[in-house]
Amino acid sequence: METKKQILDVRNLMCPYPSFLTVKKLNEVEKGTILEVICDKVEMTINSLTTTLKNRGYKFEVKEDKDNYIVEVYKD
Amino acid sequence: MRCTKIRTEQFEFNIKKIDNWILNIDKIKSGKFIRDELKVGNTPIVRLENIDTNNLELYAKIEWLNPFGSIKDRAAYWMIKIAEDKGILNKNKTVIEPTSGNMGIALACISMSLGYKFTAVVPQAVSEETKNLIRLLGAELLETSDDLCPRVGKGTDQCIALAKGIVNSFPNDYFMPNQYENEANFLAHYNGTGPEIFNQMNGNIDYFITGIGTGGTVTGVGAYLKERKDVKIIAAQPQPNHHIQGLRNLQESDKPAILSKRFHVIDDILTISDEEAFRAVRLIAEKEKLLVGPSSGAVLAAALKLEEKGLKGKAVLIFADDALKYSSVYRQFKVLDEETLRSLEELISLQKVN
Repeated sequence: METKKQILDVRNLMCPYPSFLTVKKLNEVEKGTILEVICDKVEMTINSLTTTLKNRGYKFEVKEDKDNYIVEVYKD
Repeated sequence: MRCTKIRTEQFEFNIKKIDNWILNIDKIKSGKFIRDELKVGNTPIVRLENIDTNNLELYAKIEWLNPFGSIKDRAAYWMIKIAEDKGILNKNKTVIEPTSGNMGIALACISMSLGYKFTAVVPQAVSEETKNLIRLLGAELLETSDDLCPRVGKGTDQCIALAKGIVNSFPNDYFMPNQYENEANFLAHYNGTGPEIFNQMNGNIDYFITGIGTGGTVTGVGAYLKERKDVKIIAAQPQPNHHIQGLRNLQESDKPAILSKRFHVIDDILTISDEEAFRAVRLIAEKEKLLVGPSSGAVLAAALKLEEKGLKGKAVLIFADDALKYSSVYRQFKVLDEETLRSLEELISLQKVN
């Protein structure tokens, strides 16, 4: 099955709004989708987001580039 | 709990009265409600004659006769009005508020009738009746779960965190009244509810009894009355893990800023169990033919405790809202009979509000 990819940009948003939008988006996308969440390099935001994802049993991977964290979440 | 039929002709009349604020909501939806019609307060006080007491004379201030069905209309109106006057709120902003019920309905109605958009941030546990009302008004509804923000507590604490996160992300687009910290919440009662009660009773009042929620009512009315005469201010708090929407237990929840600031005006806090509150709701329905919300039950239960202690005098009770939004909780705890519950559900059903 083809993996679909969707992007959610939560940069410049204050905690816990990024977590709220990510959870909402994950509820909407189809199973098998990879959701790529682009997030500021702010420790509080990434900690809060990954804690929420862990609590809900999502598989995810955190990558980073110069300016952002990119969280790839798998919806299965 | 024993369930007997409580419907009578007088009771039918009461249901019609409850209907009033639903009609106002209908008017807002069709854009017919205008600023000049927005009159909060000046609600009646009725003597509770049929509830047996030997020492205390009980009077209830009927707050669901505010335009949108609860005491929260007062604080909602004044928070918006003062923000408009100060220039903090303008037509480009959306009003956003963390709320577990009546404040959401009050702010949705008042914001929208004054031409502002409204977003309510509510915990998932809020009753379906309340959520439906807010959605039907066309307001945005954001539901938070308890695991959203690991740094704060459950329920409305999550809502407060999310609402603040949204406002801080878009400070030019949102205005958050924040009933827990906004002085206008105190002033609505200090300048409104308090003087109304004192005048309606011609100064003949010995006890004032209300529930503890944000603390706006108890400190506002309490401070006003105490400046006039030695009225004892009694607050009813629910048991821990309670089902009394709108009230808070001070052991399990923090004191809001509004309450802390003038906590000293409270003479006594009585803790009321769910069962005592629901039994009182039933008593009011049977004896007085009034269908009240759970917090009014808690307030009457507190009054009955004072009566048991043999205290004498005139007591004014706040009946903050009616039973309309609580048919599901009243069904769960078998508070009212089936036929009554059905007529409540019918009143709040989609057809009625549409």
